[in-house]
Amino acid sequence: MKTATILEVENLKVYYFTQRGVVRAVDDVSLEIDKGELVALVGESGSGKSTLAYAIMRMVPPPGRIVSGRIVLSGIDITSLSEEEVRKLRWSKVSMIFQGAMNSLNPVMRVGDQIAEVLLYHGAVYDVEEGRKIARELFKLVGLDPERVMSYPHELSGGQKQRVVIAMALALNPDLVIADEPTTGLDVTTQAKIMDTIRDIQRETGISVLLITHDLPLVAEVSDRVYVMYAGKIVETGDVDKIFYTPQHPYTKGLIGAVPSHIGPKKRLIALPGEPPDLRSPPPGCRFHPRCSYAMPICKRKEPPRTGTGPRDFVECWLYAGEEVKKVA
Amino acid sequence: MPRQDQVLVEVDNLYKWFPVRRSFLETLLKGERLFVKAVDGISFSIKKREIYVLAGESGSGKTTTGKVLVGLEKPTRGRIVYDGADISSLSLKEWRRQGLRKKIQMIFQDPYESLNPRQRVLDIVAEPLIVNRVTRDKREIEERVLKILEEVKLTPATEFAYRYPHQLSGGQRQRVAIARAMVLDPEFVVADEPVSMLDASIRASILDLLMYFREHKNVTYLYITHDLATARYVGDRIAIMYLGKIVEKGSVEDVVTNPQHPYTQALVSSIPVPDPKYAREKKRIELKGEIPSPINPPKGCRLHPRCPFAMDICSREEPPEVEIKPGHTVSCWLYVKR
Ligand SMILES: Nc1ncnc2c1ncn2[C@@H]1O[C@H](COP(=O)(O)OP(=O)(O)OP(=O)(O)O)[C@@H](O)[C@H]1O
Ligand SMILES: Nc1ncnc2c1ncn2[C@@H]1O[C@H](COP(=O)(O)OP(=O)(O)OP(=O)(O)O)[C@@H](O)[C@H]1O
Ligand SMILES: [Mg+2]
Ligand SMILES: [Mg+2]
Repeated sequence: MKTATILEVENLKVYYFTQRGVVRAVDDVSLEIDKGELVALVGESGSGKSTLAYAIMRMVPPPGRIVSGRIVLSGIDITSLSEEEVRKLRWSKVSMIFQGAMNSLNPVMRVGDQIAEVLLYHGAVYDVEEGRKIARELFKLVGLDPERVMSYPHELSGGQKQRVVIAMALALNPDLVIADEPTTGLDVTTQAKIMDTIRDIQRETGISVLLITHDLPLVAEVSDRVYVMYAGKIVETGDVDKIFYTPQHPYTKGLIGAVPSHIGPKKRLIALPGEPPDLRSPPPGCRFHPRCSYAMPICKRKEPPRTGTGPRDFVECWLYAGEEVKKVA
Repeated sequence: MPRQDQVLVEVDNLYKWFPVRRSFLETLLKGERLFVKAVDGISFSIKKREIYVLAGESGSGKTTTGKVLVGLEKPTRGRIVYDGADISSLSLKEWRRQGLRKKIQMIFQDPYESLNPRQRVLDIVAEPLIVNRVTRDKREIEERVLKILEEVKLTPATEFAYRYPHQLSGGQRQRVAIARAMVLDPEFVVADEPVSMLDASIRASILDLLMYFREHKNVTYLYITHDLATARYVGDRIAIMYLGKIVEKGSVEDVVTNPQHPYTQALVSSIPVPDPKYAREKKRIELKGEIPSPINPPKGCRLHPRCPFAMDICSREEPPEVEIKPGHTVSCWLYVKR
């Protein structure tokens, strides 16, 4: 029997309609997450990771908008819900640890009260006092001294603030937590402890996590499955071992070859040539072709089809397209 | 006597303390003046054409050390010998007179902040030539700028020269910063986290560029980073800093693949490994709590309140530096034979 699917994103397109052109930030993306899975979305700066996360939260900022596709959350198609209906699901069904959130905590409010406020707003508690009580429990869960609910943000270290933000995301017991770069800017020893915390909570509560990061080694450490994003598209997905040991897409291979490791024999780092494209005018055909050492004539002309590589895995690359597809194209 | 590799930079018991600003009343009530002991007695030496890595977590004193070496901060105490001459107490004027402003350069972490947004690439890179009065000839300045832009692979150089920083990607901006540092043909460059703001796929090419200047221009580097995995790929030798002190020194390969100090062990075991199977088996050495304030660092060994192996003596006396094999030293009581 198949375990429950918590999130299903189907052929999603999210564009920013700016005065200087249309930014195709998320362009025909499909992704799914099962109950209890920790799925990583990895990609470089500007590849569209946060935009995809905003879409799942139904919080895409203007001039951005969901252009087409479907987002199904715990069985509910949220793509067409009204803002009011969405608000009921936000935080309680899906919550998000925003990129850089630890630096945007309210500086003049006790951190415990900031959590109590979220609880109060959603009617999960009757008063601030009860909210604070739950905040203490949440602090214990994320490895903070419960007395810290009385602290102000400036009294906490970066790692502690990040724990507060995680506690806040867990406050309403959601099915899915999106963690957008939750450890970026923290020291490695702190990062390791924070990731342990997220992993432990996820295992204990059976919550699903979408971890967004540009840090490939981090993905290897914690995730069950991986989606690799490049220039607005998912170029490859598979379970974590498959992505690291038998990557298919030239971009995934390139990334893995460019990442240093402190263990094992010292291999030569191979730099990927060039830089990611501007999403206002991505290259025609496969968006990776200008940097790809396997590029063929067809790659410059037509977008690659999605080729299945396992029950839930696929790669979007002409190298793996069946002969029939190539002929038609 | 056996010939030794020539030392370019020697740092001997260097201190840099910053006074803590307090109100008059606080000073009156609490008496003593307080200092942030950013760098608190460190020694190391860098050989010619070496890439020497200074690593450690946030606030350990890496950037401060780098700034002292390039003359941006005056040392509080200690000696810096550059190419045989003591430069620790030179005035700014002397610094310039001896040509050190040309010979020693720094590349900063953040390519977004270190470039003036209102200047074109041409002017940014030309600035050191003008400030150091290398030449006033416009044609010659432009020629030198274009040549260095070619070298850092910002091609076509004639096009990039007329762009502004906001018209460049992060990687291209860091290339501009490197061009500016290299345009005077320096001997010694402090590179402060030059790739930590960049994406994985472009980091390797920036590192290749730093290597290029060592191979072809004999540049010596102090490479500052918190990323030990990258350090392994660029560095020859390394010093690990914690709270203003060096805890371990040695060849990068020894220190990173076989760390001995408990702090280095904790650091190394926290680095994510791009190898899922290895990662699942990996054992971590955890430090308790959080890094203390550099204003009042712990007595004895600075790591002792957090160290899983702390003994009595660690809280009382500072550990001596112990050589555990030629060139590999550890400042830790665990290695003192008693
Ligand atoms: N409000 C906006 N208006 C216009 N364009 C935007 C807006 N927000 C993001 N973009 C563009 O959309 C693309 C995707 O951005 P997004 O923030 O989703 O990337 P990301 O993968 O999260 O990057 P990072 O790793 O830097 O956080 C980029 O080209 C970005 O410039
Ligand atoms: N100008 C200054 N005045 C007062 N304190 C300072 C000053 N510059 C640095 N410090 C302090 O000195 C200590 C060491 O700082 P430094 O910037 O050298 O650390 P670092 O190792 O480079 O850290 P990071 O990895 O965060 O860049 C820190 O506690 C810092 O707050
Ligand atoms: Mg983002
Ligand atoms: Mg620094």
